Amino acid sequence: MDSRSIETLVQKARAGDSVAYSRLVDLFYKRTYLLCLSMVGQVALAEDLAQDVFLNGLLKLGQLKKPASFGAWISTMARRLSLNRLREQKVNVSVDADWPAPESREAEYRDLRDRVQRLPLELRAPLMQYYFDEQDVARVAETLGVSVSSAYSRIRTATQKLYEMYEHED
Amino acid sequence: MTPCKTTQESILDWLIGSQQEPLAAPAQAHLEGCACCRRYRDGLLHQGSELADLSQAVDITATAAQAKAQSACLALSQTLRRSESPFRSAARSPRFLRLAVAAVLLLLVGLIFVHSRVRFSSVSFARMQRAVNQVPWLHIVLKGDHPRYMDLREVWAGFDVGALAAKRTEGSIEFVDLQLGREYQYAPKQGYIQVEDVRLERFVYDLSSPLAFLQSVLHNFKAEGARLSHGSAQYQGRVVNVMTATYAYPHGTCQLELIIDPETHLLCAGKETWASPGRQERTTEIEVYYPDQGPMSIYDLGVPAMARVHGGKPFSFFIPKETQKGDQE
Repeated sequence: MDSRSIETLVQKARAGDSVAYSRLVDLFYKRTYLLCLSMVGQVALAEDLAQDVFLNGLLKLGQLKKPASFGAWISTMARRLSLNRLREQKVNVSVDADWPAPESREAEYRDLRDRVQRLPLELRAPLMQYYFDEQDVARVAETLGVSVSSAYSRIRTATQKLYEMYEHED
Repeated sequence: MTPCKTTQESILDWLIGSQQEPLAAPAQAHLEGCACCRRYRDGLLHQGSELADLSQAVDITATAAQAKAQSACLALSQTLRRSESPFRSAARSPRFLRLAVAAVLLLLVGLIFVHSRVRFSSVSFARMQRAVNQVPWLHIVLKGDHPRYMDLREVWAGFDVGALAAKRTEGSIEFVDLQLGREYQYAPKQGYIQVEDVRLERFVYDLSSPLAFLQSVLHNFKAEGARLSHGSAQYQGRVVNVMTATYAYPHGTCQLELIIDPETHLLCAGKETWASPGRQERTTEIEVYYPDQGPMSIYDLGVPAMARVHGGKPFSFFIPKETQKGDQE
């Protein structure tokens, strides 16, 4: 969806159109949830955080200066809320991660998940955003609040590191 | 950089970039002869595929969570709309700025008024601005603490019909019909109406106009020993006249403040403050209305239709006519 359409949705939501805000949640939920999940590692906590992000977003929609930047704005809120929650709950992301693996070959996928969790946050977040969403580098950049080249570089490094971990374990 | 390293960099770029395009020709050529780089390429493709599979499992949880988040947002949105709709709709209105400015001004005026420790009930200035002669009725409602000897609750003054009526705390009611020269008094305890012929009495209140009535009220206060003073104050965003009557009552002093509109000389509101030594100050707020109609008989004030009628003595609204001359001087 282009920035013009997002701007229109934000303006409608500001005017009290709950359907418009629901559409915004539709568009930005997955990346927000993934961002939270990459930061806190736990599904239930990520769900709570993502929901809080959108509820906060609804309450503070009037403060958004550039409606077209809704995605970046909501991602910033998600990062901040997740960091605060990590500090409050002292979650160890690499140990406590519980996000699901496919039922078939569960053990194998759990290994992959654990390798992803062992990546540092600045690599884990872009990797999950890229591979778990639509493999769009520009979108990853917007979600993480970094330049496209920086996002690309981080995804590249994360992919390489993940492979090296796999090779090293083998 | 070794050929393997260069090729693996190309493979990584190809993987993250658009995989629809073929791998660069030099890297492709290198791959054909290098098992290590082929393994690297296949390993990365396998890893990407596994990550994609893993994302499907995450998707399932995300979809369920998204539905919950949307429900929560919808509920919050509805709550916000219910609780804030007047403000939201006002904010969307082109008149919002003017309304906001007016509200701020009113607030400031209100703060000034509260700060000066004078609070009066509201009154419609639009109605008050009507020409004095067009005001048919005055209705005064007194709210607050009432010392026993000053137990007025409501007063009506009909200027066109020449009638005055009053309701008191214990349910007693008075009605004066100046055209007929009759005064009626009713007390629930007695259960009957006292009627007095007052054609030979002088009515102490002047009902020829609202202004004359107000003047007669103050005149009677003065006649009873009250000290009168006047000044001005801010009330509902405008400067008004304040008439003050201070007088003694059996247990202390009472200060009656009447707010008078400077243009029409109509009474807007008022306040009585009762002070007695060793007791907490009590106040009576006076609300003023100008209805188009009022009670035309004592029965309109709630007296039972079957109440018996007896002769009685004139109430304090009247004094013998022979004292009239002296008072006027």
